[in-house]
Amino acid sequence: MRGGRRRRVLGLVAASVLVAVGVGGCGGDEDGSCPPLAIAFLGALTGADASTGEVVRNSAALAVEDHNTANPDCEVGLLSFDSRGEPARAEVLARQIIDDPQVVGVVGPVFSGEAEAVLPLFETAGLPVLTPSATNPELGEQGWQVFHRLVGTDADQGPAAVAWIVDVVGPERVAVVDDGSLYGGTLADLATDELIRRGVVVAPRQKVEPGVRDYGQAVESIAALDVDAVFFGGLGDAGAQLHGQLREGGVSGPFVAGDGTYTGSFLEVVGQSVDGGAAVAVTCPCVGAAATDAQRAVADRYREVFGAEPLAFAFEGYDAAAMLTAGIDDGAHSRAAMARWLGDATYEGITKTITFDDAGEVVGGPVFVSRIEGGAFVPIAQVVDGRVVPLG
Amino acid sequence: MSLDPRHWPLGRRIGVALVVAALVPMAVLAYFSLDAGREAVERAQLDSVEGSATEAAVAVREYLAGVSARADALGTRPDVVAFLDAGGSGDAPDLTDAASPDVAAVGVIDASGTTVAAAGGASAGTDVSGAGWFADAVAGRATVAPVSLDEASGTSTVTVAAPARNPGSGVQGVAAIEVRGLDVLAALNQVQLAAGGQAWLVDDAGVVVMARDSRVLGRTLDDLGLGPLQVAIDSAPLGTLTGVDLVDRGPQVAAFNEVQPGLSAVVLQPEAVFLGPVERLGTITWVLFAVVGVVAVGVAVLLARRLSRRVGVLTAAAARIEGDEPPDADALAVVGRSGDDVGRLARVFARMAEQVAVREQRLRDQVRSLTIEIDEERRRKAVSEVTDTDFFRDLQGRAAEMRRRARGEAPAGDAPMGDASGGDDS
Repeated sequence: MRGGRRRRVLGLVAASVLVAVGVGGCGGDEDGSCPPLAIAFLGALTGADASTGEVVRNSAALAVEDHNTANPDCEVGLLSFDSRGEPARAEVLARQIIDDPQVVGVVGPVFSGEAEAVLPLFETAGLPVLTPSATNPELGEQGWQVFHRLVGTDADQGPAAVAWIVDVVGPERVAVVDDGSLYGGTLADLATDELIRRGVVVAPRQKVEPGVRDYGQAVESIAALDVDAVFFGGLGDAGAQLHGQLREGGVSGPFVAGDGTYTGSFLEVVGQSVDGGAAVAVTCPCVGAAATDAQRAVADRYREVFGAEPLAFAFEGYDAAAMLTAGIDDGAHSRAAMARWLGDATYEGITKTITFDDAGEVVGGPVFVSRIEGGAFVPIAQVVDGRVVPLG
Repeated sequence: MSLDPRHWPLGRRIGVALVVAALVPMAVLAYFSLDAGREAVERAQLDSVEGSATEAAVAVREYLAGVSARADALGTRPDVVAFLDAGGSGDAPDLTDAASPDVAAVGVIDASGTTVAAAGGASAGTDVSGAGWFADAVAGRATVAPVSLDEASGTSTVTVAAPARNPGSGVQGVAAIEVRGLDVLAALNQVQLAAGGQAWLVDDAGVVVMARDSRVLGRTLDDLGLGPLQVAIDSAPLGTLTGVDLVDRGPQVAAFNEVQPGLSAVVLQPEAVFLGPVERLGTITWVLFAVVGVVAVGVAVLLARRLSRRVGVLTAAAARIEGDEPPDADALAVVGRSGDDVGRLARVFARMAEQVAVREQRLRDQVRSLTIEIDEERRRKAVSEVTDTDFFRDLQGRAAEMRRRARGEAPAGDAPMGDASGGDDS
């Protein structure tokens, strides 16, 4: 009787182990099955600052389409979540993304402010994130295991913008303006520190509020100081307004801004009055204009499919989505597996060979400086280790 | 073990009765409570999903109404009407104000269908006379065109047109605003969705024209495994449906509401999430039921065993008495410690056993004394039967004669034969 009971217990234990192994096998990372999986895009698709988000989303859609064309029996979905660039809304959407069991990776968030809001949620859910465009350096300093960034940060971009200003303009006094956002404020701070370090006089910081169309007070203050250049940390819509009002206010020195203004809306407005020269310079840790065959191919398809120019972060957006689909193809079928895969992978993207350090920051990547010419952003220099290297 | 309860021991009978009395009513109660709870939760959840679909439809309707108001405002702008009145000659009206971030294109079209002024993605000179929205608007009816989905890019647009005219006068052309599908989708997704929920816009052919998921865009409801939903949408403007099976997503609960003729908002929610609260309630109930059942069975078994054991002690005691042996007084004393009926019975039984033992001993003693008396009498009678015989007397005389001779005395005729005293000879 005792022996019979023991055999039954052992049988149950063995069955439990088999079931556990079986269940574990279903969720395994390296199996050859093709479960329905998706990646999510999170960023602004509507509102005044939707340009960058739309570019990233569209290029991610191209990458997913390329993957699905090559793998018709193992298609991956792209779910688009429109944050409008608002951190509070991004939090709501992040929860929806987390609740979807098919999502194994996120392309985005597009902006640093929303990234700061949602990354703790994604960290708790163990959902890997690849941002192609959020450049606040602090994002990589929080110890988030799910965080990965495909571009350099404002810590690279601010000093690079200053290097260009010092190298090309040689100013005595520079005005620094920000739009009050996390991104704009951080970038302006970094530029200010670098200007001071290089011995340039920095005028008292001016702030402009996106959505408020009259920046007269800031413009008057800057005009009164007779500055040689203006550095703006902020997004495209406010940047375009500020640029126009500065010119109307008699401030004629170069207007230098970060990647937040590398947008269609900024180009559309500012491009009407600027064509070439050094009047406007925009920095970006992104590739910007296509320079390789792979980038040109993607750019051509982008124009063909979406009828628009692939602006800043288009190629990084493509790489982010393509890398996630490559992970899926490599058997990363769960969030945990995807996080491990991203940590270990060396991926040949169209922008660069992508590997991440322990903080999730991409290894390498210069900052480009572009001007507006012929209604388009044209790269004119890249800044490497504080040195300005003219292109072409 | 016999299945006939009539042959069961008393303990088992009582145990089974306890279990049945505790579990059966509880099971019945749990079943009906769960059923009622499930029905209530399902109803509430269906109402909630239907509410979401209505909310989504209203949000899109209001957004499109806003765009329609903008188109109407553009169509009644004096400079636009004057421009059209002048046959499209002179300075074209500035349409920049109408080109807000959600606008893909703005156009002013003359009565023949030629675009005479444009902004955004529209181009002057384009002929739109074949478009249904133009025909409606030039006939004096503001209209929202069906959603135009570009399957290659997954992007969509919606054109909203209004007649251009001075108030109270005839139509001179059309003002049209094309908004980006992303903005319509943003309006659609204002609705609060449960975990895994989705909101779509579906046209009259059952094609999903707006959705967050790239995999469903441009596909028909039939393709997606939602044929019954298409049938339901075709038959009523508003409704709910359970158990529809979305490809790769499993069973869904769906609700739909008409945004405008030919365009419906559909909200889908995974059935697992939908029925989650009910399933959890059911699980908790049945787990509790199982726990209570196990406890009830355990208690019943313990009680039955205890009762059986105590009755068994009494039975054994009775059997020993029957076998003329003394009962196990210690065991009876243990059972008798209890204050219940069995304990009382054990105590009475023990006393009874003691009384029986005392009486039996007394009877034995009496029997023993009677036996001794009988034996004495019987011996006396046996001795007398021997000594009273002639043969014995003769033997006694001979023995006396022999003793006299041995002592050298006179022959037997001189002494009586009956002198046989001398225990050794008797």
